[in-house]
Amino acid sequence: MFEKIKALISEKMELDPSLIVPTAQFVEDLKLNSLELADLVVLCEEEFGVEIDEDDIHTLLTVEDLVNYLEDRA
Amino acid sequence: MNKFFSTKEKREIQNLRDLLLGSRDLYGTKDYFRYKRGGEIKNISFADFASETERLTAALFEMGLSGKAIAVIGETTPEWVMTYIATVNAGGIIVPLDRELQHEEICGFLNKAECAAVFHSPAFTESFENSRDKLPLVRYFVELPTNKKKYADSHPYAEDDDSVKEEPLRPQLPLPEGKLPFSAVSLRGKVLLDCGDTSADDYEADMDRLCAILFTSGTTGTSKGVMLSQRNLVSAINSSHRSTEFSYDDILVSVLPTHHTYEMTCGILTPLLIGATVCINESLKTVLKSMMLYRPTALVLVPLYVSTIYKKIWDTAEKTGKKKMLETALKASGVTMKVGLDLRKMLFSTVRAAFGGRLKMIVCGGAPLNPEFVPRFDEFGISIVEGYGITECAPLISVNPAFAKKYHSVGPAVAGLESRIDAPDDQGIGEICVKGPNVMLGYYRDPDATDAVMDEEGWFHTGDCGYIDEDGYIFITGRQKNVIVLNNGKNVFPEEIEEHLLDMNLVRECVVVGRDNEEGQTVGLTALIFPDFDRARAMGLDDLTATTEAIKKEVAILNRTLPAFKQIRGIEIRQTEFVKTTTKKIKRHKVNEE
Repeated sequence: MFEKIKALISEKMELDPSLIVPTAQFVEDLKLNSLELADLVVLCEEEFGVEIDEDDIHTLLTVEDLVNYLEDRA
Repeated sequence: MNKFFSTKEKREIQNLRDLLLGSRDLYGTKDYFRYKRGGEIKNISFADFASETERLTAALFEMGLSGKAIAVIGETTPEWVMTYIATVNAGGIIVPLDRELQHEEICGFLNKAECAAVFHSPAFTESFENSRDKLPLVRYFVELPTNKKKYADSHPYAEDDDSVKEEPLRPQLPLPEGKLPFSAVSLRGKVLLDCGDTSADDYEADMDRLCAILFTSGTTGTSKGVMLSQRNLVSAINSSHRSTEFSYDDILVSVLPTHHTYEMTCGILTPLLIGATVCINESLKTVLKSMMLYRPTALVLVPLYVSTIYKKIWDTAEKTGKKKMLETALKASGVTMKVGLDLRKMLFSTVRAAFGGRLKMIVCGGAPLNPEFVPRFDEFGISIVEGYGITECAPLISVNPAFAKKYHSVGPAVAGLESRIDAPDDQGIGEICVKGPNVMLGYYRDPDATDAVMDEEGWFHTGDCGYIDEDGYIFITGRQKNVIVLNNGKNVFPEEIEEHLLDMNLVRECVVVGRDNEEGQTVGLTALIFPDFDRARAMGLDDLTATTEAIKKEVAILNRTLPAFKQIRGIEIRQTEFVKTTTKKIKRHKVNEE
């Protein structure tokens, strides 16, 4: 799952893959703003067929959080 | 007529009921709102919206809520807006709350404002059910319909039933207190009106009486309740209408939360005044989809959206191999514009296509906008009308008009509002002060805080610094207050976050600041921390790196309990104490100079 998400973030958000580690924080390390994070969430929903509640987005601070969220619901 | 305001004849309203009923008569079956419900696009006309709001108003009178505080909390829906208007029209006090607040804070605000009813989206039903004992004054919990798929769709309105011919009977029993669906309140209102109820007609609005309490950011203890009168609201709506160039033909997409007075005044009530259609974006996740679906001609945004849109334009151009073409088009457009030929619509059709292809104006406020964006969007044929406001002014202070724009300025004060600079320095820079019908009544049950911002001559001290040029245009240069204004329009009081940090064992002193990115936009909070090194050593953390890592872990745990805009995005550890005043308070303004 992590590798898939890493590839997705790197491609769609145009980020250097080496930055995308499990502990990377979306806002602080990957420099995504809340709208870009919402965009990423939509991409993940489409890719993995999991609905991410808008109210849960603020709890997804790191790449690892997103991986765990998707794994729990996949 | 002031030279800064459009000379076109414009409608002005006397009160919110005049706004509602006038728009019903003027715009009738035209769509006021378009929104998604149950997966389908629905619409409600100006006439139907007014009719439903009138029903709700009649019901509120009967429920004994005239003169009482009524809270509304939830995502944007037509019913949320109806609740706001009906409360004011029934002589109540509307208390819009931020749905991102934690439950304890929501209860705190409901009690502080002594709310007798709360209209809430289904997301709050369970938490309110479990907190009844903490909310002794709340008599009605009315569940609003929702746009969210995860809650079952309800039928919010009383159906018109023409088959009933007999004279309707006025209900003998009052609506039961406790939990009620919106549809039950709507139905009661319909029956009352069918029985000839004239409560709303008989009620004479006192324009200077309290009609809205808007809590500023912070916790129940630190937040201030801005008290607005109907005169404040009406004046701000009329000003917004005169200063922006919205028209009857405009279609807006509402993306900002309605508990913000900026969105409510400029993005919801101004379109009601002018007959423009508002399409409701259902979630942060669907912003771009909504643009393509509803194809707006105008948007009311905060800087975060404007900078993201700009980035998106260039990212899309690069991905589709059109970056060079876009750069060439920009140069060509500049040349043709100089000879009076406006080819922007044609040259930048692909740029505008990303937002539905019809976007021509963005009203931007809520936080300072990087001034570079204004000419850049102008080049694409999208005019940015920047405004400056503060909740205490309902919220409009000034608008930089599209037809007399000065770059880097937030424009002249809106009609009816006077502006001046208090204690200007030799460059004319001082605190921006305003006086006029937009200015609040004061802070709710806080005369000391009110006295601190309102002087004896009635001038409201904004806490923002700047200067006013010879044409009356306001230029903002900084802030006096500690509040951090993020580029998404959210205000954060650093003291609130600092309290959380100081609860941590390893933090001895701290200051929370807003750090700017490369574009000069304040995007998130940074905590400057002086650790408690003695305690760190006692915990076996021998060096700075270990202490820093331990603090970062604690901050990450804290962040999970905070709404996104209050989360700490950066941590800077320092090895010396902060500079303090003689009373041992940290000198905040010195922090950035160190």
